[in-house]
Amino acid sequence: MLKRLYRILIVGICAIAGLAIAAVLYLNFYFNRLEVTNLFVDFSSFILLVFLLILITRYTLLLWFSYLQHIEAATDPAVEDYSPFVSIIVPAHNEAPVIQAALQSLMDLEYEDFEAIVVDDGSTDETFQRADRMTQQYGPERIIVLRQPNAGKAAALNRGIAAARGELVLCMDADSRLEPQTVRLMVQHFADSRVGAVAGNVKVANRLNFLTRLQALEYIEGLNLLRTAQAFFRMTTVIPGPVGMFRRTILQKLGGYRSDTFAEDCELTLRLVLSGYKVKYESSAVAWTEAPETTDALFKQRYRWTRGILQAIIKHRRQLAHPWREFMNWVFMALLVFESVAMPAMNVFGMIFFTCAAIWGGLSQLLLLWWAQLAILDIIVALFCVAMEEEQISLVLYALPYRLFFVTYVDVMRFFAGLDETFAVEMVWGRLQRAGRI
Amino acid sequence: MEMELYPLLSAVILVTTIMTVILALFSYVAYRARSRKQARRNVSLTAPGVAPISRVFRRYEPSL
Repeated sequence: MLKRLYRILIVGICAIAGLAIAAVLYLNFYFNRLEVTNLFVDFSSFILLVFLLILITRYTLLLWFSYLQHIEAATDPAVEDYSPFVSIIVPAHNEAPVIQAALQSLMDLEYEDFEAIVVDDGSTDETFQRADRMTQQYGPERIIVLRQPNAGKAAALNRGIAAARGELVLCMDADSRLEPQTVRLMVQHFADSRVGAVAGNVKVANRLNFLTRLQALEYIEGLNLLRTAQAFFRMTTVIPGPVGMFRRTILQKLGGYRSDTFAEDCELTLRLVLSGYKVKYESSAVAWTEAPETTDALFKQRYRWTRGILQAIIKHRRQLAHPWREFMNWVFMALLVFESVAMPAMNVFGMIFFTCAAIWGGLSQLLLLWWAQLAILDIIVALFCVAMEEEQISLVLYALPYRLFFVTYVDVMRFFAGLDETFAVEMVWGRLQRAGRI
Repeated sequence: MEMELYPLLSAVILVTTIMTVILALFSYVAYRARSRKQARRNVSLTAPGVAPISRVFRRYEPSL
């Protein structure tokens, strides 16, 4: 039944893709009737076609491998008798509004053998007191609360890992809430001794305003689609901070989290994959997280992510210089560079180019065509992702503003973050205000 | 009708794109200003004679 559904779905997607390509061709034909023909118009059309080709190839590959991954995951037999002890590490710095909800979600897990270790990283609010109240309620064997002077997230995670008794360690953010089945589903993957880590599926919990709904779409369309496609090759590039499970011995062997980048989760994932461990993805292991509710908070978060990922790439850049040594590692790094640097750069270049062409060249139709091709691709991908993840269909309606506003905003921000990283501009670990909505 | 629709859509996209870029630019300027303010506050909050607790990232310098 499930397989039949998938087939219907894929046929539907192919049909929509065909229609989209037809629409783009029609638009191309329409604008080719432009009376103005000169070198600039020819060059603009060439750029447009090259971008279109790259984007269609990228999305086709992502959809295809993501589809294969879903099929594989659906037909994989579950390993029910494998249930080792799990330590869940929750680093927290001034997380008083959300810490109890996060811990309460752990108490509702469909998994018995676990301990929760809260590491209070020098909070100045009531984080420790609220976590301690949960310990008194559920017992110190279930929730352990550790305290340390403020040393950063990586240090807090390492402190928790050092205190962990479990064979497996699940690292989560204090502003996240796990679904009851999350740990049970992630644990099953570790029955294969070659698996070093499993990434979970992060979704936006606070879909309260326009910006958070756009992020909800971005999480399923932008982040999870990529993660699912990469998981087909067991090479997920980022194990997300809100939900990632690791084999403790491997974490200790690799030296745990490092504080030398702002994206400690990406950096650790890079070391895991480059060391030859499999990194899998479990799309049904859901963690709900609180997304930034204002553009300023969003900027702060994405600026840190972008610079952190660039720092991780720079740190491991040697892998890019020797493709013949470890070919798959080279492919992995090249993909990371493509997704984190080339794609946003291409979007910004396209936007600047076609905006200039519209303002100074009088070719505003080219901007429309450029935007239309991206919007059509976004709608197709949004439909696919919403169907695969059984998400709210209303999110597809946000595909147009997502491309027009959100992607432009985030890509320009990435451009500035990239410039700052290039010129080594100092940065602080910005605090995100928690609204306590998880 | 067809003649009017495309220029209208193009104008909407153009204006939205420019406004979004300006918004991103403002966010960046505001972010830089807040970062500087926070860095100054971290230094001023430290007691005299005690080295400030730096929460400023140290750039990773790979050893070659």
